[in-house]
Amino acid sequence: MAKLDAMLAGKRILAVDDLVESRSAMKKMLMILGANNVDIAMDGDEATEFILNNDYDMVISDYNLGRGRDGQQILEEARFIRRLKATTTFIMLTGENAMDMVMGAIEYEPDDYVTKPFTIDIMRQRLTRILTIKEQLKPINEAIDRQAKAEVIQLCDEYIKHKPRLKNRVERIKGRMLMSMKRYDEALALYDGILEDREINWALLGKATCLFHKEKYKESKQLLEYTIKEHPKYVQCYDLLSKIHLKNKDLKSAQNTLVSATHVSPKQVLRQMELGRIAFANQDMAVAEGAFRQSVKLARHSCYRSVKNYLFFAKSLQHKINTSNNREVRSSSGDAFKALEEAKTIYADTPEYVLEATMIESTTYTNLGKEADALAAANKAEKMLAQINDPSSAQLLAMANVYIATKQHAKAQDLLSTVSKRKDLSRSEARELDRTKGEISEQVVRQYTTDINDKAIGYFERGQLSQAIELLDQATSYKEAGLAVLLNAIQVKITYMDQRAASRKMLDEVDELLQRVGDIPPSDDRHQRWLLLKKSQERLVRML
Amino acid sequence: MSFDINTLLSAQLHDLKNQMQALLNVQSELNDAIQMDPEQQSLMDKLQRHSNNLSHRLIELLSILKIQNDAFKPSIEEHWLSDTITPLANEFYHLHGLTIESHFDDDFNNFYDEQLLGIALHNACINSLKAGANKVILNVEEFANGSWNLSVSDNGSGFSEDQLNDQNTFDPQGTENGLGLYLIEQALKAHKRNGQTGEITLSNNVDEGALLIMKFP
Repeated sequence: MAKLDAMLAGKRILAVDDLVESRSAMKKMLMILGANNVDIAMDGDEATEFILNNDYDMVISDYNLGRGRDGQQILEEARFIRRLKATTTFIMLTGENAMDMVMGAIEYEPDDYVTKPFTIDIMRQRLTRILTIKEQLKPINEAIDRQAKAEVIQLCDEYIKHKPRLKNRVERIKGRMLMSMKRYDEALALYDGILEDREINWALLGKATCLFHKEKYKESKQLLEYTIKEHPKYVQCYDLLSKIHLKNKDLKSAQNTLVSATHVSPKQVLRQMELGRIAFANQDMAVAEGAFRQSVKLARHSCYRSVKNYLFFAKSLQHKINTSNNREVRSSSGDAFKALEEAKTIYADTPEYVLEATMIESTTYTNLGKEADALAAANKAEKMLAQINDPSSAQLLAMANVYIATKQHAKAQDLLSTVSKRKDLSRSEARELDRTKGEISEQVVRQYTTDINDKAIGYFERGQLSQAIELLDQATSYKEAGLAVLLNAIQVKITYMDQRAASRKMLDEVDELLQRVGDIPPSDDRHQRWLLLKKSQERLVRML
Repeated sequence: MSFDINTLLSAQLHDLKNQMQALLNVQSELNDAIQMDPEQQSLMDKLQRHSNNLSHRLIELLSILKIQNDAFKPSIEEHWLSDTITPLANEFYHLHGLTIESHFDDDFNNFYDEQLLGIALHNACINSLKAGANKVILNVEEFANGSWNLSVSDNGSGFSEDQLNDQNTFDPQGTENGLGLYLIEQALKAHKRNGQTGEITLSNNVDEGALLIMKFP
């Protein structure tokens, strides 16, 4: 083997540890071993920042980095955004209890790991081996970086034949590459061969993954359940098992499986996001809230940051928000508003996202019983929606719901009829349309207009005619407004013109209302009143 | 409600491991800083001896937890044997004057739980020291079915008749220097493959010393 100091000299290295003593000691240790260009980072955020701005030859990170993301997250994200090439070495420092979590990853496993506690002597030995193997595998890794997949397979076959000591590592790369090329039959044969000799956790997961892609869900599930029993901390198995449950349309089991996975490894952003989505679909808002809270927190400085995390987090909090002004409500609504503000700030350049955040804001105010604030937010959202070219059905439906919540039923109905005419509605959108239509049934509108009517009568009796007109205009804007409401609206307007002055505009409005009333037969108790109102209208027209 | 003793132990031991790691890091820094000063080096050696002993005890406790509790599974991974042995050999030579010679290919690798094998070898070497040995030779034999043996041969006084006769009943009681053969046997038994379980056999060399064979399935 080559000398370690020669291998480390000139390499750009990043060391990540959350404990200050360990961090500086790690740097010192690496320098003693021959490194001369070492950066240190204290957590996942700082490490990601370093990786984004520098080209490293080697990253050595503690698995457990305290409260933020863990070492595995740093690795996954760095490889995902292609800031760490396959030729870059990634070494994880870990307690043995995290081994399955670290070395089981099919797609983003580290090159190697060193278990704690280690002496400098152990580190020297391990680093020498790791870097020697990395050098031996360089042609394969370079081909991976070039995306030359066929060449990777060819090189793997040559290595397996001529370098038996590297067989295990090379077979692992080959399996992963075959799967990325969707050559599942060949990958399956490879994994079967490995498993015949020895039950290796990644080969079990590899086989289960192939079976999944070949739509052999039952066999895949059985294999995963067995693997989880043998390796309870092998979290990637839970992820695939959850996908199988989803394929079988068993959302509850999918959710439970991911909950188990998050107990083992709570810091995987994509898993938390998936759990949040599934729990939200299951209407299990307590679980959804927890998962999205974690997603927002963990993804804040990561490549997985998504507006959906913020919006769904705010939505999932709504089940706790109501008109009682207690501590939980204040805290939940505070969290929701904070998440929405953050989303609006981060995604200010994307009007669709700002619109959605504003609509959720309105809903939050509605749930808090703050009708004026809810209406103000709804009005803002309405303006934003008007600015969007060809809004989606989902956006229109969401806005319709906001209208309903802010008691603007006529507007809601208009939007719903627009959506109804669309021919490209997805199944879920069609379901949502039906549900929303149900909310805005004739009876609801009639009751609503009656409520307004009652308030308007109060204003009328106190001589506050302008306020009465405003309310009755609102009530009569609904086609479902009843006869009594229409007659009251006519009555108020005529009284208003009698006391002040007749106007063409208001007379036209009265005329329109009378047309909506139509003829009231003499048998109806309201016939006499209707006649009087008609006569008053004719008188006012003549006076104009 | 009381703590689950295994969970408590595991959590405490892993925390202790982090503390131990910090101590070892500082120690290696100190060692680097005082190089070439014989007086300080002697103090450093003492410090190293005690901290290494503590570190081994810690790993030993974790190993026992792993062996005795189904919730903690062994981590059978691919390792290079010389990587596992070299630091141990350096330590025994430096701190106890025991020479460990590896008579196998530096590139030999296979699947085993590194922590368990480390603790087994550590106990085997302690036994050799107790038997007056100053040299241990390690050999590897590979078989076509993938199983392999690691033999530990020393130049000490060899196993006693009692030990050779009671190979199926190793004493689980602690000793002054660790748990000895019992722990070595348990470490091997944790290695399972294709329905077979690891084991150890004891014998004495024809000329001198003990021969312990660790059989990995």
